[in-house]
Amino acid sequence: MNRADPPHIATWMLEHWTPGLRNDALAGDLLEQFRSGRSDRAVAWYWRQVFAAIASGFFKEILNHRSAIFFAVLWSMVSPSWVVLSTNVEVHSRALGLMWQMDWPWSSICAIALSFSTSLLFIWSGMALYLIPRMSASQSFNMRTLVRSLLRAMPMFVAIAAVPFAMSLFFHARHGQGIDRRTLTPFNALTDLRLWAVVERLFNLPILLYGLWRATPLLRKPPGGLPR
Amino acid sequence: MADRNYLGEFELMILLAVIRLEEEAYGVPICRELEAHRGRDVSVGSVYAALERLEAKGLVSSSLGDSTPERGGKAKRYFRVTSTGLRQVHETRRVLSKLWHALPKLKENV
Repeated sequence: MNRADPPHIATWMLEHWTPGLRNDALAGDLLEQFRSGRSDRAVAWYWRQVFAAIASGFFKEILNHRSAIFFAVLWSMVSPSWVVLSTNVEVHSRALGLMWQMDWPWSSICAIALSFSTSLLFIWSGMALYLIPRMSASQSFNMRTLVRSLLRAMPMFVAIAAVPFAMSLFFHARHGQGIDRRTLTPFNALTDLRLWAVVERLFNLPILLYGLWRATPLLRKPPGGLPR
Repeated sequence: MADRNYLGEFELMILLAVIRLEEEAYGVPICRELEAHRGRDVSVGSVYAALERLEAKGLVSSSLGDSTPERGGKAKRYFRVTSTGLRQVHETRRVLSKLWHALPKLKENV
């Protein structure tokens, strides 16, 4: 490392780990101050500044997304009720009853597809509930933007949904085993604090957070045009 | 009626530094100005965060300058106080002065 160059790792962290728009002016200011020979402790100073800039960037992002965070926490609290509701629909639906009468592997494939789609429907309905009023309020509602926003949750959904799926596939373990959800009502599932309900909430929270976080920039209406 | 959104301590310091630096108000001199008067290090990130807040409130405006080699080719971002910002500074000063004058005399070592 040249004396005139700040630590490369710190610069890389500043450029890649600072959330929000890349702030070239800030990076340039730090470099200018570093090169103007502040002191023999310039490297330590540079590291401190980089960490402070990253922390301040995260703090600002959290403040900017506080309503999305609040909604994600609230909606994920409801998820056990959704599971109970979908189990009840499953039990009482004739069409879904036929699914279990199919031969293997079709019965398993249908069960997996049903489980994935009910989980995804929960995520998407939550996101729509949050996004539609905001889009309408800013007069920027359009169906294409909404669909794009909902699709933004998919990478995290696929990544997180793979965990319980792999567990059930390889270890034959499924959260909530031994609990007959048919005996529960959506209302008492809302206040259920047993492990299956907590896992269900923890499963949905990061997906919702990620989806809403990534959808927020789409809500901003560019001057004189449609949302990006 | 005067705007009731009074400035925070750090925001006020930054606005005063930007006013004083006039055409030269970009990140580095603003930080140096604050460090010189406060007597301690300032985080450049927190200065930018405050400046962005002030810009969102319409109290400062910014424009990009030229990029220079000593900055790794990165442009300077110059800040200027808007007329609303200037009014806000005067209003905050007026209120603070009234509050100080309303205080009984403080002991020197307080």
